[in-house]
Amino acid sequence: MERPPAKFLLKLALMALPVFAGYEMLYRLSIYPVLTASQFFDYKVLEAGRHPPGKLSLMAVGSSVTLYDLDSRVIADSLQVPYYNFGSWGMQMTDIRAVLGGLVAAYHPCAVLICASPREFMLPRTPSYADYAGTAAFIRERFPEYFYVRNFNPVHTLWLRRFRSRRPTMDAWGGASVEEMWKGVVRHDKGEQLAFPTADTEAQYAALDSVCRYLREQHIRLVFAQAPMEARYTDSERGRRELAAFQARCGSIVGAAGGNYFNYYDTTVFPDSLFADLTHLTRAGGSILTRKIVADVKATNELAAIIQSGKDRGQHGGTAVKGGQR
Amino acid sequence: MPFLSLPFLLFLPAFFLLYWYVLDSSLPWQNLLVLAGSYLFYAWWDWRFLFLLTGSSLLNYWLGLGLERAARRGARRALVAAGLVQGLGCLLYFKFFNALLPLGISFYTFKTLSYLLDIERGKIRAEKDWVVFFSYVAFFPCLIAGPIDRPGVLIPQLKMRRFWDERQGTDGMRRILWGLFKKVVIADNCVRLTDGIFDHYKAAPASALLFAAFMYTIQLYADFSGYSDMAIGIGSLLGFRVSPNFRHPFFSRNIAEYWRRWHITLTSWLTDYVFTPLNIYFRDYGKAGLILAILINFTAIGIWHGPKWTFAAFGFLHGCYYIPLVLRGRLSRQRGRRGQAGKAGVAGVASVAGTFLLVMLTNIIFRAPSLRDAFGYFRRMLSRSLLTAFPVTEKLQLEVTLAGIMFLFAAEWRQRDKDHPLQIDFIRPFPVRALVYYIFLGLILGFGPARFSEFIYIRF
Repeated sequence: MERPPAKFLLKLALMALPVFAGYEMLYRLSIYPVLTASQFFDYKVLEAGRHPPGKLSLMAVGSSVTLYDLDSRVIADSLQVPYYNFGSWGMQMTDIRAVLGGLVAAYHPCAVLICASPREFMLPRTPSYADYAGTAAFIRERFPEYFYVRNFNPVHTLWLRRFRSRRPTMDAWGGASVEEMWKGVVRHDKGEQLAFPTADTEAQYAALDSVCRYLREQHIRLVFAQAPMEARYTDSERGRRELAAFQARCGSIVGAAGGNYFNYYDTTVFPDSLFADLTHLTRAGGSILTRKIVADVKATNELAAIIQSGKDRGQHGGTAVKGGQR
Repeated sequence: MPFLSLPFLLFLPAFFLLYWYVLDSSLPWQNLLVLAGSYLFYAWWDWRFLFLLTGSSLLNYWLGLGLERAARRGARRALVAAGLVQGLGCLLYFKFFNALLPLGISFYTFKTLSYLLDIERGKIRAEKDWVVFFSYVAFFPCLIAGPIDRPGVLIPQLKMRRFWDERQGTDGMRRILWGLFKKVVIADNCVRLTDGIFDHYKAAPASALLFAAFMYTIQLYADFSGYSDMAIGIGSLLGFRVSPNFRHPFFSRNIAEYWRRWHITLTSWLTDYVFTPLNIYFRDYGKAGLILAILINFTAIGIWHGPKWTFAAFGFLHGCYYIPLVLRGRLSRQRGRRGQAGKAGVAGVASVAGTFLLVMLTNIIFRAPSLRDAFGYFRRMLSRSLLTAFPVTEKLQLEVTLAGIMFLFAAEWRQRDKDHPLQIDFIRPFPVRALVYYIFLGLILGFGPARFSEFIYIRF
């Protein structure tokens, strides 16, 4: 039988080449593919992939609480270890668990810091994180352009995601301030009360337990910081009771797996004036919280030693490693 | 695996290379690859239904051989009846009594039925090579949503050595590109503009309902004909000539012409196996008999889509639209032949617009979840808010889609004597042709939807 001549295949390949080149150009222009349901997580992970922070000593992972409440400068100056914040909006514990393996494999941290509130334990899992994490590490890290095809999105959508969407300015360690995001936005959450637990809370506790066990298996120390919240958010008998139960449950899960649990829910130290919204601190509030976390880390000798053991990691051993400048 | 998916994007080139470069020296092995590839393609969705597909193929294969051997008329009739009971029984059972509808069952059942009926009528001989027959039933480009190729068309091609034809291969690629454009740029963008209106029609102004009805009609065409184009294009890449399923239906000047151009393989199937026997049966009743045969035939077309009153009403209404043509004696096959589509002129344009309007209004019933909703939709669409402006949040989507629709019609009109509008060999310089391809690719990659919607006819 006559075969298609090589000319035909060559023609097809040549025709396809500019398409691949076009996508590569998009990637180089930071018009990234869609990895997960969170465009900020995607942006952060891909930026970190392009400007790798190297091996980390301390890696923060979590939701917007981790993203906004941790002051990168304070950690960098006080701990003097390679650090990066992978916090992103809306992540639940199940989502953190889904992406944790990939991040640990890529950045080999000595300790993982999760700063969380009940908000990370309220919603169902987002499958796209698991889909992303389930992709081979080689593709995730070396060939992220694959996701242009895997999660096809038209170029105009990618363009809008990149240039028209609201996104905080990241500092050099992946952190950000919530105040910038709320600028000009009218708050609608003032009367909101904590409605906890939800139907998904048990699954989220299970995910926290899984995170703890996974990190222990990897010989990585978990630092779980119970984030403060506005007092009025839990200003009811039920709210306070549920919050206390939540704190006790998290403490016991983290403690049982040999992690360090620190509770910073203290309305006297963090009055409502330090909050930008119900669960996110202002820049000033974030600095206070981060200083307290750093002080507690330093005061816990074993933990401090673990984190300091990674001091010489990264590209600029001895100082906190900066991610790519944006 | 859906055509618009990463697995298929990997499957097709791998299949192509194996087909033409590894197993090209042996026709049986090549056919076996077609069969294996088709079963893999099908099992990707739900492997359990593979048993039904295989079982149905096996039974009809035996019945076909039996028909060939049976000398007595009674025995032959019994064998055909067994095939009809199995095919239609499965179809009715899964459509009416089972929530889980095996993909493509409406399409491959019609293929097996026409196989037996054509043997019985002496049009074809039973196929002895089981690989050829099983491949005919499961031929993956057409398995899920047609075109419904007749055994007399596809089986001889499966039995013949297939030679690579550069022109056919190139045309296949162009046809795939054209199908992608229709599906991705037009149909899927229409979904985003119409779904919200249809789902919440009670709250939308009449103008929005009219707009949604128009867009849905285009969506249905772009989606289904886009799939058919891709199927035909893939067939061409493998050296097959798959039957066309659409021929510029929106340039039809009456409903009869429309149905000769819309879902051609289903219409011709039902014409041959349902309408013609009925027409013969009712011939003594003159025009009344003809109308009755048409109404039954079109109601069958409607019900073929599923066990819903909306589908039955859709088919029945289309049958009713034939009545004036029958009464005026204008049911001629000569009209609307290829290349004659909608000759210009005021009367021609008015006829085309009138036919489109009729189809568009009937599609509201097709799309509605129930007859009650369809009536509600019509009632609201005929209200005074017909001239009210309605907000469109997806402005860019709307602009791109409307531009795409205009281009679609312009291209189809300009190229109406060709198999598809991307047959642009009249453009001699290759760089210019390449530029045209890149424009299409740019539109597909740049302005498609963030999520591909499922092909509408996969549900049937």
